[in-house]
Amino acid sequence: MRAACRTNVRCGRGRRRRAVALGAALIVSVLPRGAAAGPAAPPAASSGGGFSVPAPARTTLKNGLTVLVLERRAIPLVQFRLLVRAGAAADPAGKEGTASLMARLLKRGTRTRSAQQFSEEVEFVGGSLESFAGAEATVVAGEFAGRDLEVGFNLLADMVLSPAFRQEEFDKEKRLVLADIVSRLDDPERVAQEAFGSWLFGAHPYGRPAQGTRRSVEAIAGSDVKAFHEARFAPNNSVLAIVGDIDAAQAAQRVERYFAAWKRRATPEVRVPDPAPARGRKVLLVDKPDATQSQIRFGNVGIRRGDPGYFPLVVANTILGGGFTSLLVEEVRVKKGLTYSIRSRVEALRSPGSVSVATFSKNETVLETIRLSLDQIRRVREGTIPADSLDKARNYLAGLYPLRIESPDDLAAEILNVEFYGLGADYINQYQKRVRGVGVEAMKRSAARFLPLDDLAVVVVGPAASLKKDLETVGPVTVRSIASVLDPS
Amino acid sequence: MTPSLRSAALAFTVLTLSALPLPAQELRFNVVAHKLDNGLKVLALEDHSVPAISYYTFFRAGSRHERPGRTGISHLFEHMMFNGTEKNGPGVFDRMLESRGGVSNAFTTEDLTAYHENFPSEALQTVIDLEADRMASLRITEEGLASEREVVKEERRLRVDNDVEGALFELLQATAYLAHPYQWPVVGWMADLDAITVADCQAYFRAHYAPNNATVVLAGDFKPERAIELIGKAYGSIPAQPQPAAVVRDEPEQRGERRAVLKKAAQLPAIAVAYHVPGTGGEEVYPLDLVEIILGAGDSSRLVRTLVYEKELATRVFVSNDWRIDPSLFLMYAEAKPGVPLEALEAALHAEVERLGREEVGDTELRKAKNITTTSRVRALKTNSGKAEQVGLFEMYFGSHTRLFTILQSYEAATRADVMKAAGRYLRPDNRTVVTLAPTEEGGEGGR
Repeated sequence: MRAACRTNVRCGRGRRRRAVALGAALIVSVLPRGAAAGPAAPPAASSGGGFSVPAPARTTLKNGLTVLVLERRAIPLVQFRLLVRAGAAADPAGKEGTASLMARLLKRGTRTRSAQQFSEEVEFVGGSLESFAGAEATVVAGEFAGRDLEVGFNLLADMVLSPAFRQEEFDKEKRLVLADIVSRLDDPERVAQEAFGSWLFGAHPYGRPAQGTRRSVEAIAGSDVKAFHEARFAPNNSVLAIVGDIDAAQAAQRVERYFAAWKRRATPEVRVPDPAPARGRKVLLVDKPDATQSQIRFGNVGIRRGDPGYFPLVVANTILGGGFTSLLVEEVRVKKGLTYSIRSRVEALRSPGSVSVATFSKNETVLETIRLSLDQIRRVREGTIPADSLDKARNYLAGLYPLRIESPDDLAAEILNVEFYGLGADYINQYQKRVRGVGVEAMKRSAARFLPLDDLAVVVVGPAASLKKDLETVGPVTVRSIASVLDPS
Repeated sequence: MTPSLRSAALAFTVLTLSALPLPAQELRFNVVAHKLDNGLKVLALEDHSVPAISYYTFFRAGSRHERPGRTGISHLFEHMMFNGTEKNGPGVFDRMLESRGGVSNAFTTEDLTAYHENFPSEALQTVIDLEADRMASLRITEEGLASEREVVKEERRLRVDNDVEGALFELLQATAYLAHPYQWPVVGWMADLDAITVADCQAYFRAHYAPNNATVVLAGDFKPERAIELIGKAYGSIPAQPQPAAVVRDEPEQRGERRAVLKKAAQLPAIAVAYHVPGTGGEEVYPLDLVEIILGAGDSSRLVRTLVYEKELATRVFVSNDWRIDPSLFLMYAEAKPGVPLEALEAALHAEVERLGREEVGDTELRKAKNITTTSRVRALKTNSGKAEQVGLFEMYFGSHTRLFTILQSYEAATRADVMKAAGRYLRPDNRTVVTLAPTEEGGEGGR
């Protein structure tokens, strides 16, 4: 019944059939809290263009749960999004994947409902409840018709407060995760993404998939999952955002009713050290002998989300590889036809995440694609870019922002980002002004410092026999089998 | 909430937990319809909740309008629409849009091609001018085509040649259809992509990209009367064209199962199944949509529950009653868990499907399927872009966007007997095509 768009030109990214939720990307583009969020924001002022979002109503329950509610009545749906401040970075050593497995199990049965009963009740009203772990937080997200609000609250509270973690369901879910770890080797984009994470970050928590590796998931016991939930899932360690068809005035009372039984307790703080950036160049070539096209990733460590340099870097990155008119798209795709999709991306987390380029090309033109892309990075760093680039990038980011938070789910996610990374109460309404305030000097300084060129971790997934020699001109090459991605050393 | 927002809001009755039949559902917003003298249809939906506009242009041109030897031209042509006009050079379209804070994209299906832009309200005139300009005077050059052809070949390598599921579904479709153009992939065969010429593109443009073959849908922060006036000025001088040649749409009835094997480097074996079913013009599309939900939507659905959780035969399953204008396919996919023989998975899959044709579903299960349908229809309308897209797709698939407002009634009207009858009539072995994925040696690093 979905109107089929099997071939979705220019849409670039998504693989539609993979049903697997990718927690890490979705979740937490983590922002640093604490560190001053950019230049001190002046008191609330609506930022041009008539765009402003009312501040969510904030309540803190007696047990410490922060509740943020924003009423949006245009669509009869309500979105719940609960963030718990502990994700894969808090996994016990050697048992990476614990948070992710715990999150998957929340909806596989509670003390009063079997897994089947639980999903039956959610789905009977056409609702959804999903949970997934990212690097630094676990999120439970639900969407229900406004009319079924009580059903939604009831089920959300049940899975968060009273998951059963029955051994039988644990065993099943673990087998599914292990099967998925094997299955994902057939997705070259995912292999490249995961290999890039571990090649750049090494053993640092940002360097591993939230789902864990085959070896680490095999080591997880039911008691580990339970212990993670008991230690980390506490109201005082969580924020609940509710956006949509709900009366803001009554929302807190309702939440109180369903979540009052959740007991406050001390939770250990998750500390993520700053990752060490790559020095010099290093190339990882993951051998996929049958590929006719190679996946390419390269980048280095960038900045944390709360860094005052965040907005200048986002602007510089947009000039390099954001949208359809970036230097990368213009030179690599439009002029040369070397790829279908190329983009660069800033992942700013509580600690510095990556600044990276993602693309692919037929095996014969991998080296040309990498070289041409690096040329574009050099141009932005040196400032030899078209005169209108800065204006275009600022307008693009500012103009799109209202659309990025148009739907209740996107808005709820952004409200949680603001809260989690401590971006400041007026962040959403100041976003456009901040972007427009990035000057040419700040952008250039940021580009020179953070767009990676000489210090670079490079990953290529393709046939090693025909690629190795070419890639040695980029940097020293390490070749690994694709199976090594299952259990990175 | 402004009055205009209120008028654009959905009047909507949500279902309750009760398993009893409920009054017909209502789903409605104001759409102003207008037709220019040259045949261009405009559908405008006012909604001021965000200071932005979503602008879609739908053409009745997809892979069903192609011929052997030139498959993929609809989609390759879609790319060419961004590569310059008589007035604006290559890249100007995107630059003008992005420098005003907008984005554009497009997609091609078997039945249609759609272009869309999302942008701040003040850029409306710019977008109208850009869209009218490329409909009036697209410029197709040898150089532009040579480069774009390579981009599309990379897209094919990404989505099909180096994607196990993409390759599996391509073979499934090619095996299921003997005569109808739905047999070839929207992205086209690689050799055809190499064969397409500038002259082919020019002929395609003349035949399919006329105002009388297009519908413009816009949703968001504007006044419909004013927007329609601007569109009339910009597009009014583009001449109408003769209707394109009719699509050859015959497909002989399938008499007996068809099977094919795909050997490819992969970790786990998998199976894809297709049954011939009616297109969106047929009444049975509704009970079959409900069958899709009953089989595959959510952890409590029949296939996820039994194949993934109870019997642990599959890592995942996917079910889709694909909407197409001409007779379509009901598609299924399942990947075997490590150690599970594909035959066991296939047998279990067929057993669940065939049971639907023999035994009526329960009242609660049918109610659930209808409730899921209702909320998923509402979910598609969360943003202005979603609303514009749905209005346009309904115009294409059902001949009128107003069907969007009444379709829930058709689901409500479907009975347990209707569901069993549709499943029994179409989801039977003689009407089935099965493609199995047999992993070759070099791929199986971790699976066995």
